Amino acid sequence: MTYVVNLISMMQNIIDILIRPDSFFRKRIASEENLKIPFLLVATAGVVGALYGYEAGSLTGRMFAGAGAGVSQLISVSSVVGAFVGVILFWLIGSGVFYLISMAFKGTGTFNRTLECVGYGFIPQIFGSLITLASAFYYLPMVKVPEIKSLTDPVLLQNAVTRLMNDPAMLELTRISVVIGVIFVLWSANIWIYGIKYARSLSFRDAAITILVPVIIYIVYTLVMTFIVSPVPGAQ
Amino acid sequence: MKNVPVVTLLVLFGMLLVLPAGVMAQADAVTPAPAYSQVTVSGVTLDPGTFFTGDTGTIDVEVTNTGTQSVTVHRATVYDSDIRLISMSTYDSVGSIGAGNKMNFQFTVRADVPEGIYYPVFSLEFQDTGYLRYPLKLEVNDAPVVLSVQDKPDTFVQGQKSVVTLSLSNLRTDTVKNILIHPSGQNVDVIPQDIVIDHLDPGQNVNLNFNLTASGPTTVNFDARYLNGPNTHRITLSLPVVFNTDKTQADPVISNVIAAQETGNIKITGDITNSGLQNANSVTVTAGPPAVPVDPYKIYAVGLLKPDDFSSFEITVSSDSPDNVPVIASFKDQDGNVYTRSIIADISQVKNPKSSNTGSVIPWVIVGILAVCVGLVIGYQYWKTRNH
Repeated sequence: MTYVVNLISMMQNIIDILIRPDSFFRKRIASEENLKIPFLLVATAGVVGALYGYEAGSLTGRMFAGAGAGVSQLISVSSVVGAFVGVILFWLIGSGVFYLISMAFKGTGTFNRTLECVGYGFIPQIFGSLITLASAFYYLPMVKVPEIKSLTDPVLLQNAVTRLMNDPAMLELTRISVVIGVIFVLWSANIWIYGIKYARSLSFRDAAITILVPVIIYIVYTLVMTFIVSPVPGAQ
Repeated sequence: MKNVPVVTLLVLFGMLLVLPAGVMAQADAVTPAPAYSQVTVSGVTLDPGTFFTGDTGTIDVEVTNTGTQSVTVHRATVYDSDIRLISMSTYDSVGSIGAGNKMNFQFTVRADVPEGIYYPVFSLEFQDTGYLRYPLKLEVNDAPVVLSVQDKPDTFVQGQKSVVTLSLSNLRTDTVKNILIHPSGQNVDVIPQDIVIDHLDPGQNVNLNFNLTASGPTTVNFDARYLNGPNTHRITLSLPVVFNTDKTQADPVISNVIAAQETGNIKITGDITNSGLQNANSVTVTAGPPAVPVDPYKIYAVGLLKPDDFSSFEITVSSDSPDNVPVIASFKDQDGNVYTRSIIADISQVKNPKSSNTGSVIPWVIVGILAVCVGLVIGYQYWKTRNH
């Protein structure tokens, strides 16, 4: 019975975070700092990201299947670990950036409280990662994977990577992933604004500047790199 | 006379009986043996040592007079009911053999007989009386000299040099001499043109290597001639040369072919792997007609590809080329013969590029709906916040 109550409470909290973040953080700030749930949320996003990394890594691994035993497995493991650790680092570094910027507005509050609030903002990232993962399942089977038989020829290596990244299905997946990422980062940014507002005792305007400046820089950089600058030399 | 006793008479009578025998015995002891009895056969030589059926050969008989008197020989001959003597009257009047001297007699015979051992008799008739008879052993054996194929390629390839090894074996009991092996045939070049062997001892075997380069299907005839004594014999061996694909030859395989636009032309890249068991030398890749190769890679030189080795290649063709471009890989074998392999590369998609080969806008529609939903959620929050 307690379990059901807790589950309902958790679902209510998640809905509050997603559509009523101001109300949620106002209540949350009155409680003691607790990084357990934010860490679990970030870790969940990391696991979903790792699944996506595994799928993409398997594709790259297939490319290197002829280069020697264990190379493809090494690439898959690297992709999984890299994706999970990347989400955790994104949480830590993002919180650090928000914390530093909020100092310009004479924000108060501990770094742990910032971590906690930013962590709650990762819930949209979980949904975003799941949709990206579904996109990967849709697009990756269409990708024609070139095979690399030797790691000693850099020209061969470069040609193969170029072919893989220029594959139409791969290009489409990359673009869709980036757009989905941007959409859900914006949703997270909305939550982070309210979170940092209470975590660092800022006005709504200062909190919005604190969050939106780095987020917009990040989004613009990602979109430019994806749609204007080719992902790899020679890409169409 | 009346006084001679009877006993004395009996003794005298007995002496008369015994005396002639003693005189005769004494006479025997001093009479010399006939001189011809000292004549013996001291050596026999046959050429060939072993006859084939139908062979002609010579029999040399050496006779020695071991006595102290000269012996006059009237006639010498060899006779046998099966072995035919060809030199019939050579020794009808011979002459004398001095004391301690030797004399050779040579007879030509022909062995028109089945296999077996024969004993023709050498006969020496002396002038006045007496004769010498001596049987000579003559073997007739049809055991052959064998020419056979010891080793040859599994398959012959047109224009490609192949090594054929023959084996020449002497199964006879005598040595054969002056052996000449001569290959011949149309549409084929065989090196060496002849092989000469001085002699082949009984039971001996030699290997003979010939390099064959055939320009068309043919049969190579190997003709071996040899001497058995004065007789020439011949054996032949026919080797059919039928072309087929060499199962071990180099086999470059073109794969992973991808076309892409590049500075107005079309770049075709791919991998070429030697899946054969021999080296592929001087490998080059180019585009065949009706495609139009253009710089910078009208032709791509790969070079040597060892078995299971591979290389990438890149060729450039004009955008005016047809949709199906023949990608041709050529290579040489160790003899310089040129072979080609080709596949067709489809460049139609590159010539008329589509935005995507995924062919679906549904994912983008879903992304658009997501964006709208997220926008509505965020907008709803700000609307609600402002109203409060």
